[in-house]
Amino acid sequence: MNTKQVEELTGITRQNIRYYERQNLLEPVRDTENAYRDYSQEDVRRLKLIKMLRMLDMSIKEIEQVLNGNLPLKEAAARQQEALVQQQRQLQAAIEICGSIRKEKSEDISVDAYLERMEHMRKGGSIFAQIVDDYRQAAQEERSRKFYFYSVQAVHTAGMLEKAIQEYAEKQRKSFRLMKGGMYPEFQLNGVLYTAACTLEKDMTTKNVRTRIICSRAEEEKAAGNRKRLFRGCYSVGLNIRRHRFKSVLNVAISMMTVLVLLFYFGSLTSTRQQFEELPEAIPVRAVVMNAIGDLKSSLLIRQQVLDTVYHSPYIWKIKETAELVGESGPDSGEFQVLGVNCRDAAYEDGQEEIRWIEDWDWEHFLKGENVCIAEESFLEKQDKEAGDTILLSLEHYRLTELGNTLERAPLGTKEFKVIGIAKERDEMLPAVVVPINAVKQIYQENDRVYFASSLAFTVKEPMKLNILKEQLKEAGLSSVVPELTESNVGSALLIEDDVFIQAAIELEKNVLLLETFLPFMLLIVLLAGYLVPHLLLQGRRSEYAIMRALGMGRKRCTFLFFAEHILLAIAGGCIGAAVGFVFSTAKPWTAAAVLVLYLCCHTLGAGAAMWMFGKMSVAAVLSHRD
Amino acid sequence: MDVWKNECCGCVVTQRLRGMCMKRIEVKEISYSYQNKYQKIEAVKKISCDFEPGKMYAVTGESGSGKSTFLSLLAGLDCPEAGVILIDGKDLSGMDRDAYRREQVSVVYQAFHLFPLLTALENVMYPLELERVSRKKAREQAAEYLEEVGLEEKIFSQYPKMMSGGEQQRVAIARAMAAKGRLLLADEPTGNLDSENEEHIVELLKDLAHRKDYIVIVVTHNPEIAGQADVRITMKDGKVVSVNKQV
Repeated sequence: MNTKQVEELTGITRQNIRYYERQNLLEPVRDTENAYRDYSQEDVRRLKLIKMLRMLDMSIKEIEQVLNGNLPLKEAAARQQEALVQQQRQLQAAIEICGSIRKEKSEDISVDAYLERMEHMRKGGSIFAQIVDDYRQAAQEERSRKFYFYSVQAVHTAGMLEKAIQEYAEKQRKSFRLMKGGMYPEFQLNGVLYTAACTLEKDMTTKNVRTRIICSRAEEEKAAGNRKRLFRGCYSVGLNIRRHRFKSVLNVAISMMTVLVLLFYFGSLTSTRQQFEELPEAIPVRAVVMNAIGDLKSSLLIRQQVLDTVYHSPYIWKIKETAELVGESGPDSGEFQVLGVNCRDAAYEDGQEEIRWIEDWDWEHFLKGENVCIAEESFLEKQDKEAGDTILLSLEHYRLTELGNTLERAPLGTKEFKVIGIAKERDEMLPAVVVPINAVKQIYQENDRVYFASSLAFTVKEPMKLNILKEQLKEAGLSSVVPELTESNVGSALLIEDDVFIQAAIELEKNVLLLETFLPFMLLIVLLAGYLVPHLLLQGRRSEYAIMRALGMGRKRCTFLFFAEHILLAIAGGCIGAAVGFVFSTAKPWTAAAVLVLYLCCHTLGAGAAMWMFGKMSVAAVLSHRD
Repeated sequence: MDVWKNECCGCVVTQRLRGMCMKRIEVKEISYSYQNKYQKIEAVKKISCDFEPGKMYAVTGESGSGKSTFLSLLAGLDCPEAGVILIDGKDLSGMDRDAYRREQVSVVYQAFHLFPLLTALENVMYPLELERVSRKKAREQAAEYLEEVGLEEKIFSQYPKMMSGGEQQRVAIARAMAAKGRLLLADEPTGNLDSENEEHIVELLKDLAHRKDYIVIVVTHNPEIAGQADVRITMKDGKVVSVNKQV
């Protein structure tokens, strides 16, 4: 039951009930949420007992002993009866005196005589001694709970006050320990916690102003320690976030959206850059050596200087070189094409051929070999040969006529080749015999002939440096195709298939530039958002801030609490945004983390500025609605 | 008549630690003005007066006479541009004003200015928790203060928007009492109340002044309230025009 009900049941006023509680005679159960007292029937019975015993004038201390069971009620009643009888005897003396005075015939009585008589009675234990004892007792109790002393010197600062208290402790031979400084310090004397305040007063004898330092025993529990303060600060921040749920959720949502937008932006920038870097592989730029008018890609005469330039250029790879020869293997064999190649693609462009190798031969070993060849299946049958047999070839090569504009055949030499692979015929265009290009070059060398390649094609490795490559090849004698020139078989022109690549590269480069240009603006927007979001969300809490300041919370602490609240929410929203971005997009973990850090840095700067402005408000103006 | 005594000394606050026992406030020639880039308004012009504990002071005057500004200067919310306010001989401008507001002065406003998202109990607990009193003790003491201003326990867990004006102002006064200070400033405390609540609030303030030795300074334009004060200070155009001690 509540206090009002107990008041009605017991007839004891609320103030007295509180007093008995402070004297530890009663301890009702308290609601943990709102500190309501909940009195039980036992509490009511206890109160009635207290009332009864107090009406018998029993002391609080004795009643406490009775209630605690340390003193049986009957014994307590016996003692009180004896005390009351004693009092009765003491009062009897006073009653006698009053009776005597009443019996006096006149108003003019001998006061001295009565005083002497009362003094005589006082020595026998009259009521007057009780009052003196009471005073002493109250003074003693007050002394331990509260005391004061005068400072020798004037006290103007916290340091002087602390020094004065320390000197007092030394004089009283008590241990002194300062717990909290300031003009209202907290300190321990012999382990008991006190607090002090000083006042100025005039000494009535000397008329000088002196400082009185009043020390009172501190009864509250103090939550000490930095860790507890930190805990309380975090607890306050958490409570505030819970209390302002809508604004907190809004804050988290805005942070999450901002981080997602940033992730999208940086993701676009990264992927566009990546596309730009991978463009040469995605859209390869191929080049092929042609004749001057651009109608021949093979059966050309390509000089060694051109070959050297191409092979040594750092901007070129995937080179395909062929050397076309005419061969005969006997008087009845007829003429057939012999093709020297430097790679598989040079021999069979579409890559669909089927080669039956003997033993452990493969393309890699074949191309390094010297006197080996791959023969076309039907050709081999005509020659009545099998894989593993050798075949003697009489070779002829092509050279320019004396006029220099057409090709003619000339004997090159004979060479025996071992058939290590059989190419399955798919169409009539397969060369009859394919040999490694190095073998061809060796035959030229052995027969003292100048080597010319029949066709040359390659892929540009670094299309961004195409212009440099073109210059290099121009120096080697390769220029652009000019259809108006004279027809020739000399490989003197270069055709580069770079239109698609250049178009794509220009587009991507433009996109990358645009996104990179936008980066400072993105950061500025995040900074502004960091300023505006707390600025707007806190507008409705100006009076809350002003009240806190008016109640004595320092500006720094107050501003920090609001700032911490906002930043915690921003961190939470940012982390959620980063997690969502990582899960639902192709963002890498480190990208999401980097974006989160960048966002928090910009946002914190903006929020710090907003807090600084917020803390500058005039508290008086807000509280009096003048702002 | 009760046979047995009313034991309680009647003042729960004496059980708590009392801060500075304020003896006297001296205001010497203080001035304050509001200014922006367009104009300057002198709100308070060279005001001098003294305040002693155990009395209720009423500061009256028309709107714009500088009463609220004077109060905000005494509360340490603004600093006078000239003159000095001495709290027991110590200059207020040289003190830590946050500590002064925490430990020596409390203010009660016309608009109550309770924390809207805290219950009545939590509002009163706030200054106690600022002083690092444990939550449990703060709860108990706050409950006592609320009882002392005459609020029932059912109000403790209510939020300000659920309370009447009179109840809110009582909570504000209880919160003022929970702070350590013995100086209570009230800026039009009954401005938003009906006459019945007005009377109760004024009685509370008088009780604080006379029974508990507070210095209570009430800014009001209500002559009836001013009539109940021990000292009436009249202001006009930023100046004190009269100081009348009521008999």
